[in-house]
Amino acid sequence: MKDLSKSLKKIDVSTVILIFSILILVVIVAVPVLLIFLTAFFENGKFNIAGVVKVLSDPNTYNALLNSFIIAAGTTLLSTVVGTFFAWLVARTDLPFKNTMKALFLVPFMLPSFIGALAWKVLLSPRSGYLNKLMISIFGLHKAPIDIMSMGGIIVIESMYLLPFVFLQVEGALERMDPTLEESARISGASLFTITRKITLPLVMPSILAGALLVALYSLSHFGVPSILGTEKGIFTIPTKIYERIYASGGSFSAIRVGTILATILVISAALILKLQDVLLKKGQYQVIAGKSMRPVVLKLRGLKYPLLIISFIYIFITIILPTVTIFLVGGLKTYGLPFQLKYMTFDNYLKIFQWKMTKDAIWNSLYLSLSAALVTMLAGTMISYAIVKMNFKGKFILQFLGVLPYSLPGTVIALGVILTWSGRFGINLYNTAAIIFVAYIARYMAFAIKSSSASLSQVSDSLEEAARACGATHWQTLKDIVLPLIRPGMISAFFLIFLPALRELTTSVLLYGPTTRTIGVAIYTLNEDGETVKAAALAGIALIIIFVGETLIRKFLAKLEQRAVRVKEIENVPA
Amino acid sequence: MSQLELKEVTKRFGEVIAVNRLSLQVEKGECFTFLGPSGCGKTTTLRMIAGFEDLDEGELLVEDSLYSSSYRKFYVPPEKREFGMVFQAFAVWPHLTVKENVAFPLRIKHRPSSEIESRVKMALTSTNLMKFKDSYPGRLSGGEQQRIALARAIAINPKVMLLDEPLSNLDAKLREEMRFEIKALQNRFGFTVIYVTHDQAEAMALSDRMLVMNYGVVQQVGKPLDIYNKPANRFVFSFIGLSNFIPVMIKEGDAFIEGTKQIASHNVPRELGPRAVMACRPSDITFMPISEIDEEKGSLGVQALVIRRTYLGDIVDLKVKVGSVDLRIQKNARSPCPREGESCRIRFNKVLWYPEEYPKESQNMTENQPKTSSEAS
Amino acid sequence: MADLKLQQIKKAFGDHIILDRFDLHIRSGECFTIIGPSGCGKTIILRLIAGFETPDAGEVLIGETKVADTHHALPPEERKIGVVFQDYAVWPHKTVYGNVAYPLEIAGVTKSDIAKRVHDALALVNLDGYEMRFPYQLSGGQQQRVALARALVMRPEILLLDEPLTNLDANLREEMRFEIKEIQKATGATILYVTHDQEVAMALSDRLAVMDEAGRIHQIDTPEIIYTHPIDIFVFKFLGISNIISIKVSEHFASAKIEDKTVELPFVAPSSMEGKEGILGFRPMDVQIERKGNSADFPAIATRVTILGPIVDYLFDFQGIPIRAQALTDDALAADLILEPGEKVFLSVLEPKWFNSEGVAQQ
Repeated sequence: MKDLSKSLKKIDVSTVILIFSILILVVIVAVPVLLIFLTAFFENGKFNIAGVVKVLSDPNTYNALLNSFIIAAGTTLLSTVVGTFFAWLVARTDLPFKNTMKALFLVPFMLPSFIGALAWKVLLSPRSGYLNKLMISIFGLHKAPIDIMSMGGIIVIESMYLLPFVFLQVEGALERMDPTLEESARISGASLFTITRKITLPLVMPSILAGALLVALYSLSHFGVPSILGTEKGIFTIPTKIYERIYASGGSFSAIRVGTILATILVISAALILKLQDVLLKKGQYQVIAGKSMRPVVLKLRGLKYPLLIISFIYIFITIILPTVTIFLVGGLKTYGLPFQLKYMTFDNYLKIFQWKMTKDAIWNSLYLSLSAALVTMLAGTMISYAIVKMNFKGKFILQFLGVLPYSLPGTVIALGVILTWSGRFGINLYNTAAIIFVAYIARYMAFAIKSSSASLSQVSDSLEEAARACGATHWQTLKDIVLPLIRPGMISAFFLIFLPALRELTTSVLLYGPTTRTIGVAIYTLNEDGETVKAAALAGIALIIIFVGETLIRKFLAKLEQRAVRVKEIENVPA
Repeated sequence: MSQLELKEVTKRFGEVIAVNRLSLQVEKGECFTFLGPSGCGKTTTLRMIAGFEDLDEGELLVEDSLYSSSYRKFYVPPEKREFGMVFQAFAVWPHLTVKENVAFPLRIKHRPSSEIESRVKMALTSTNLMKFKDSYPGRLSGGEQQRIALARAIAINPKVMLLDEPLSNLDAKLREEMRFEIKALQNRFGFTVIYVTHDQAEAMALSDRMLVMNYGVVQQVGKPLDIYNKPANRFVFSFIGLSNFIPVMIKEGDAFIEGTKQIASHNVPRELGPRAVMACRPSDITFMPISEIDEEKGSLGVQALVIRRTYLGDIVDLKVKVGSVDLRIQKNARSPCPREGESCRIRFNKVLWYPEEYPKESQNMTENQPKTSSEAS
Repeated sequence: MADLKLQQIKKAFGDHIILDRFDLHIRSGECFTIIGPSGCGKTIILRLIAGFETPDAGEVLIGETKVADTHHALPPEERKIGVVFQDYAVWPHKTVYGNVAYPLEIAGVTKSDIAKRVHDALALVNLDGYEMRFPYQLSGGQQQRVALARALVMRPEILLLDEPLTNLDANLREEMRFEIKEIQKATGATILYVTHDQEVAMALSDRLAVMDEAGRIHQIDTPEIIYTHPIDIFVFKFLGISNIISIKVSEHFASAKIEDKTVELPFVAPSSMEGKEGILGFRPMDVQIERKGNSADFPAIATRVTILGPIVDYLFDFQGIPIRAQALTDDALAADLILEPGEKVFLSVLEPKWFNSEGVAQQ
């Protein structure tokens, strides 16, 4: 045993890490992406641009492209303006109940947007929407005042659920901003309104833009909302078009090829957005973080205080309470379409969710797929980020690039790539199995795991490892005794931050599921497609409960970890 | 008429009294410094003068106009006070050029363009920043950024300039340079300056008068050299420079170093009790050459053992032991000093006497005045 | 106890050559400091000895053993050297005890021995009683002492310190300086200390090496000799505030050129500089101020007098030449030399230093 451990000690740790990292990134990320481009641009082994042009000039496809961009633009604009406003309200005014507001504005993060879309369809679809029917009867109208199944509807609903991205970025930046920047403006004679206009806003602009670009990226990649609200009406976006093509043709190769061409456009747009974000952030990278914690300048709202508070509450009601209540109510109906009266309601559907094979399986599938994917991704991500952050070798930039690449790959694109790679091309056929979803999840969340681990690792200064080496520890021992314990909180955090989104996602698994490998998202979606709205709502309700409980428990747990990690970090700021 | 006056100003944070009935008058053109350890209340006082905190009690007047009064519930907001302020973290706006930074307060006040132009030029030239006027602050060094902040404050010709530890974020060499620059600027333009710092060298170098503070209470006000020469109490003595505090037992006008039979001084002021503390600067202790020892005249000096000798270039730093008391001595490197392990005799050139109990910090400064005696023992 | 030798070391990063044909010999048991500006390569020397970097050319020897050359390098964990880093590098997830015990655990020392040795090491740095604390509960100075204890617990023959006092405030720096010196006396280890702070360097070292930005060593000697007999102008300027005047020597006397005028200085130059140009240097503390003059003095007008606490700083003007002087405040007070700007006094200079036009010191 001693000999084995001695010879193990001799194996160069760095080499092992490097080889595994390259292997994982190539197989999981590089190959699928490459295959997408190859399939798109090469036909029968020959470079075929004509085919690409043909697909793009088909009105079906270029309409989908156009819609995608219009929706993305509209969503970005709306969520940026509203999100920034709310962030400013919470961070820079004397709005009452600030902490509650802050938490509530972030709740939409927890709600899968396609479940929200489902709820809004129930409420505001042009013919059978409950709210529409209510308004018609109250105001005596001819037809439904609001048609949610439209471009405008898609934009509004998407904005509701993407707004937290902007809110989070901007609110954080405002809170962290050095208050003396505003105080010096004040002593220079500027009124609070002028300060906001000339000092505060320009300085948080980078964060506003960062949030906005993130929204644009997610909107382009998004499947659920445009699918539920748009497909019936013939409004397609790139992800929904790809899905429609593939399912209409039963997975034919030409449909997949069309898919890859559209996917390429998505990837290019996403890459451009990320590049833009990078450029803008670097340009506006102002050192605005405060050292001492002093209270920032706060605007007194006076007469506007309560009206704005009411507006905020109304907003929260509309975005969170209304859809959630709707889902639960619809899930409790005996038959869809019946009015919400006690005699038409039952708990049965909720109980049956755990008895019906399809839904039972879906819940089980989602749980074990997301848990295992989170575990594997987190471990692999940690190893890869160690290679990127702590090691020096030629060609490091390739690893960095591959590590970041999945960020710009929407779930649809990853699904396509995974289909191309793992459908027998290299001898392994995972199509229609759970394994293909597993592999797709790893690719999907790898970039996040790497980014998160890199953040943890960069806080472990090199000298901590070197000190261990100077104390006689080998590289292996240093990793085990010093590095791992210090990044463990970050790893656990990353695990949960992958597990939760994976649990409720739809975009990726909707292209990969087979008859027995539905996820929760797919099950809700297909139930809705099949007209089983009540069952869909009931499953959605159960999903919401699982997600809410899970998120709350995990956030509490992570907060405790964070506290311990903060003490660890405090060392860097200890005055002598 | 004084330029700025504080009357019985008090500020509380919960149970803690951060500033305790502070009264002072600052004259026009004076450079007045608040000096004290962190948490002593100096920054809070400055922020009250600026208007970022309000007074719980007391009044603030500028050029005899009331700016803030707790009795009359009156308060002028910061933007209307016409002060210039320089912060510790510079607070220079990164998204504006140097020129735009300096012009900002003037634009806010809607001054005519020609006036803005000439004032900005004046401010930039006197701080050596003309060549950077179109650059962004992010490209400039810490010292240059601090000068932008200075220029911005100068440009408006403020009633009072407030500086809140402006040099703390700079490295030692730069701090020294900037100290002289700030003083030169103040001399040139004649501003009234209120300066806050915890660095006594900085305070002494810059001030016309200074105020030493601890736990919100004024310990001493006066000219730097006066405070250095006659610190009002032990706290001020130890804060203003390196110090030796020697516990002594007093018998018939002689001070015996505690635990020994050695007499440190024959000239003990009569008001002291049987025990006291003798305070002495490291450079006020000298080594007696053998020629000076005269048993008959009673000139014996105090016997000491050198336990540490450190060469610091221009200065030699020694630690000597007398009984159980450790003393620190600093001498010019060129003057003869005994070596480590050697026995020697020392003499106290100038000492101050303080009562044995360390005065409670919250006591008024008029108590515990030191008694002085400067002579050779 | 072991000597440390670097022989003909070359180290480059990309195109940037930091050290070239660099030699250094540190004697066993001495406290040796390398002082130089940031980026001069002094930290690289330390890392080469510790094993965190390998030489591109040359050899590193500890005692008689070659620990590194271009083909083979002993990894850091096998070199048995104690290292104290600039940012302390105290492990936040281990207690003080855990930090100091770690090297002993790695080495396989028995539990009871570990306890004793940790206790001894902590006593050496005045931290006994702190075993169960975590680093976040300690101040910067205390963390630095934990790092020291950890480096010493293995009783290394060599201790490397990389600017360990830079992040501490002035008072603590002074205290720790003395402690390090005490520890060195107690353990007899060879210490290599690397810093840009000349005050610390002078206080700590048995010998001192002054290095420039190009990685070249100018002078190695005791602090007193380097300070009083700098080998060139770089060393002179680096070790403290200085007055520097460009001069030309004729007929034994130096004169300086101010704008268009030639100002005669009452300084007698060494004969080797006769007829040549050069540089005159002297320390502010070596300037003697008198109210009444005699033949050795020259008159000057005070332009700025600043009391910097225990030291008074003067700026004088001597016919257009600015001269900086300093004196202990208490000495100045005693001699009534707290001047006002505009006062006229007489100055003389003790032991000025002469440098030729290349900056080399002349006797």
